[in-house]
Amino acid sequence: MSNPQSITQTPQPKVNPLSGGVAAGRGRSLASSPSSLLSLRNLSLEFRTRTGTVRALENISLQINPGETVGIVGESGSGKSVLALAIMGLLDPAAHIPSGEILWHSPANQQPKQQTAQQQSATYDLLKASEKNLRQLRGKSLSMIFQTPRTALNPIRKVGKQIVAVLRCHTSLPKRQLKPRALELLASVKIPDPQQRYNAYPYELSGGLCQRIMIALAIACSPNLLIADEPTTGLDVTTQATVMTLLKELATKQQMATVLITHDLALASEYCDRILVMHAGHLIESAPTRTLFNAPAHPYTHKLIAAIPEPHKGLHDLVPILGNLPDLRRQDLPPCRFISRCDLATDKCNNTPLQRQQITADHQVACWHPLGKDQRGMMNDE
Amino acid sequence: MMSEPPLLQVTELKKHFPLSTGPTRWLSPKQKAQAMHAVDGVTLSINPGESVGLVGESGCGKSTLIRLIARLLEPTSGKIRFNHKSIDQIPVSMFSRSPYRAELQMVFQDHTDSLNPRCTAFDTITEPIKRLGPNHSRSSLQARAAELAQLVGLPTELLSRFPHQLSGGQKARVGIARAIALNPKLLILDEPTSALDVSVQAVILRLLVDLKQQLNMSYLFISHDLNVIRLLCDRILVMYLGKLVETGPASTIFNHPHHPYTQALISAIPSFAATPHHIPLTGEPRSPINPNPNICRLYGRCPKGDDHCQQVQPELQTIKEDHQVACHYPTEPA
Amino acid sequence: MTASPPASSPPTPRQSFIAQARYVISENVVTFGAFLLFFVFVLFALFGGAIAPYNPLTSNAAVALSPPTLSHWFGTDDLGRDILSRVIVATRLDLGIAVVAVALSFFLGSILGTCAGYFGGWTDRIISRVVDTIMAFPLFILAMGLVAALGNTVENIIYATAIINLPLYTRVIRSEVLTRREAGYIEAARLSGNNNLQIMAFHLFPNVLPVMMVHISLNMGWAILNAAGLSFIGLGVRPPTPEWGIMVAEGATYIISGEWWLAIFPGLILMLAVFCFNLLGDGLRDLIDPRLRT
Repeated sequence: MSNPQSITQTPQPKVNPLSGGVAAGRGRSLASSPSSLLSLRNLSLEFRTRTGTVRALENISLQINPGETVGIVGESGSGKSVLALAIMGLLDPAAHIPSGEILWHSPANQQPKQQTAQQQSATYDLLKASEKNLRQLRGKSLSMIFQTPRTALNPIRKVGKQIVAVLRCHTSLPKRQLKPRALELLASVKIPDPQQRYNAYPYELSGGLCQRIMIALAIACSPNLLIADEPTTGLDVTTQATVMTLLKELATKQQMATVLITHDLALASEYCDRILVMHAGHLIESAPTRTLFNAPAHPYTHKLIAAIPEPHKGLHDLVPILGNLPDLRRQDLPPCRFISRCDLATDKCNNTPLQRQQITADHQVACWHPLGKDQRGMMNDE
Repeated sequence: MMSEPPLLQVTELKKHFPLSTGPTRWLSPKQKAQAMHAVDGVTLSINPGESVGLVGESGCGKSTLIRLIARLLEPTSGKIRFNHKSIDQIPVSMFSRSPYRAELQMVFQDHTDSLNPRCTAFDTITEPIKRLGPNHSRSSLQARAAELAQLVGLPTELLSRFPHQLSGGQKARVGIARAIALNPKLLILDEPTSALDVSVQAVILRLLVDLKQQLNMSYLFISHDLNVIRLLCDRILVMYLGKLVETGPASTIFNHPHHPYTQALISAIPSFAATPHHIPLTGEPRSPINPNPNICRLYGRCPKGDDHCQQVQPELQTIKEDHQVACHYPTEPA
Repeated sequence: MTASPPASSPPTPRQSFIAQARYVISENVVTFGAFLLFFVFVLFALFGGAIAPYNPLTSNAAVALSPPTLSHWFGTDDLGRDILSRVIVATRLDLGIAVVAVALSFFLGSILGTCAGYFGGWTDRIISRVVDTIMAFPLFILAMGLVAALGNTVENIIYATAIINLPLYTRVIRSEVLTRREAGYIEAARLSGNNNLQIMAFHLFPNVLPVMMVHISLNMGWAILNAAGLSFIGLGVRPPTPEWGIMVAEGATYIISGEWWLAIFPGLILMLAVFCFNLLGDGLRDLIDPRLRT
């Protein structure tokens, strides 16, 4: 969601002519606020499969600022995991990006190894960066934790060794300091008895412990941005609470921005400052957490919140969202992909390309008929 | 309902999985055999037409418990009475031929995994009828399949599809249709909606409620999501490390939990309320391998706890009618 | 990406099989080539006698050891028999031995492997140890032993080949069954009233079959080589019966004197047959596994 003020932009710092690079030397100015950490501009992504081209993402624009916790919420098929993989550069070879940019604004002290000391904060387009540069960024400035912790860890290597491997790759710690630092990290993620767990294999540990190990791996080099893709799916509620509290503490302590990708709105509401809602490859709403839950503007967001079981709701208060996601392989997808399930759809929704509407300074929605104040106010009447 | 005998009565059910220690066991026979106490003395009952919820976290033994009840596993000890008959004596391999098989069915959590990838929806749904039902003619199977599809809200043209051609919600419906094909009296539901999107979840939950009334079934509903359990269940059983720690009517458990674990569980549920107040359970759960029978299973993680808790195992005690807690110091939450 | 499937009505099973076959063949030209070749081999096996230009057994001393010409495409051997005809007719024997041996092996191995994997415990231990013992025997030693004990016949060669291949099927099926034994649909099958035999036959085995298709095909290639190899050392098939292995054996001595065509052509066809079956395995697996449809 680009900040409207930045559209009439002031010239940005010149893009860094990294080897293998970026929009080198062309002096392009980039429409993103200099204070942001990661900006996506009009990113579209498709998968070429044998049954057709799946338009997985369309025109995604958003911005992550340093230190904030942003939630990306959506159901299966909304494209949220694909978005995370696109940012990290971990996409399937069948993925094709027809347009858009992913701009990473690297703070001054976090340069890839080969940079000279003169470089100040620089901006890279991650889509154009070479694999080598991406690898230097990944794990060091930009980190990710995945959904099923036990399968995301290497099953045949001891857990401690995996942490040491990350440290060895991205830091210049001398060899004998690697293990103590790894033990420190294990302690910082509240793993009981770190000495013993250092020598454990992933299969010996519970899901919650594995997830904490993954967090330790991810924060080992104090990244600026951590993407957490459904980090607590499959974990128990009590473990979930512990893991999320831990993430929040680490984020605050290390001034780390966090992107929490989840299908669980309630979870996102507890831990995120801002929430972005995705539906069928579109980013349809973006708002601070309280605003989103008290006064959602997009009909889909409203329905989603209405469908979630809560203590005060009876069974018949849960309103399901009828209909199916559109087939993203279709050539004739309507501009708004929620049309077939929306009560407020009109001809305009069918004919005009979507545009983001600004409801307030920090609340944007991609809808021609966002819910009015009185409709949104319904959320508050319980 | 109280005057009728319960549909299902489970008494002191135990399942201990022996852990083979290999050659060392032969060499030192005096060493005590190690066993994992997955289910350690559970007593519960379900009345006809009742919906009972079972909550607990991973490792608490609820999956093992429901498989014991559904007679997919042999118990180590204990009794199971279903429909006035003792079924724990029938071996698992023979149970598929017993008349009770059709009356005790289950819906699984992973809808993709629970469908044979080489069978169409029609094959899957009609299989119980072919094996256990009276009438096997092609026309009667087709009629019954169409009827079941309509009951669960599955469009009949999807019956010829394979699982990989169906969406998550559609697979869930196929699993439910299969389970109700022979009008079971007791349906065990193992987290049937946890793998589904929220938008589909509401539909399936309503479907389950409707089916229960239409077909007059009892439910044993397992979920880690207390919000969902609350919507569907009359009574709730809370399980921890193989034992029931609290049981009672749904609203009582939700609003007045007395066991520290139940309180921690409820406080950990994310909600839209402004500030979360998590009651932390420190450390990792105790080992279920050869647990000391005198120490409370929550000891060490419990916010309360004293010497008495590690000398005498708390048993379920009634604190109010229908509300039982297994704790030496049950307290009303703050 | 879990987009919901298109709303059009699904094709009937027969339509979809043909469509799937067409798709597989069109996607992969090599597979298509392998299918064609397989078809040709089957044709030779069934109608070799009618297709062959000359009688494979008729000797004609006048044209003995003549190189490949227009009248004899593969040349003639030391007795003046047309090599092309002999190669074509030999297909029946080689393929026949391989097919029967593999079928026997597969049948027995499926039963043993499924039981070992499904029941575990002592059943598994006994079967696995027996199979391990068989694996210790080299084919030629076993075949020679059988021949010494029971006589030098084609049947015994088939038994020897079948026994040697048994461990492969038993072990692969056992491990596939082990993987699938705990799957949700097996539990569901038990709940639906299936007993152990029905679960093994209707639920486990059909899911194991696609994997086995690849193994069977590869094994066919290996079995053909085995059959040829045994005849090469004089076991089982005896002259004048045309058979690729014998022909290579007989032709080997003539290579030094420059008559290369006696050994090379049978050898080439042998190679082609093995190659064909190897490629066939992948194509077959694509056809049978429903997960790869749509």
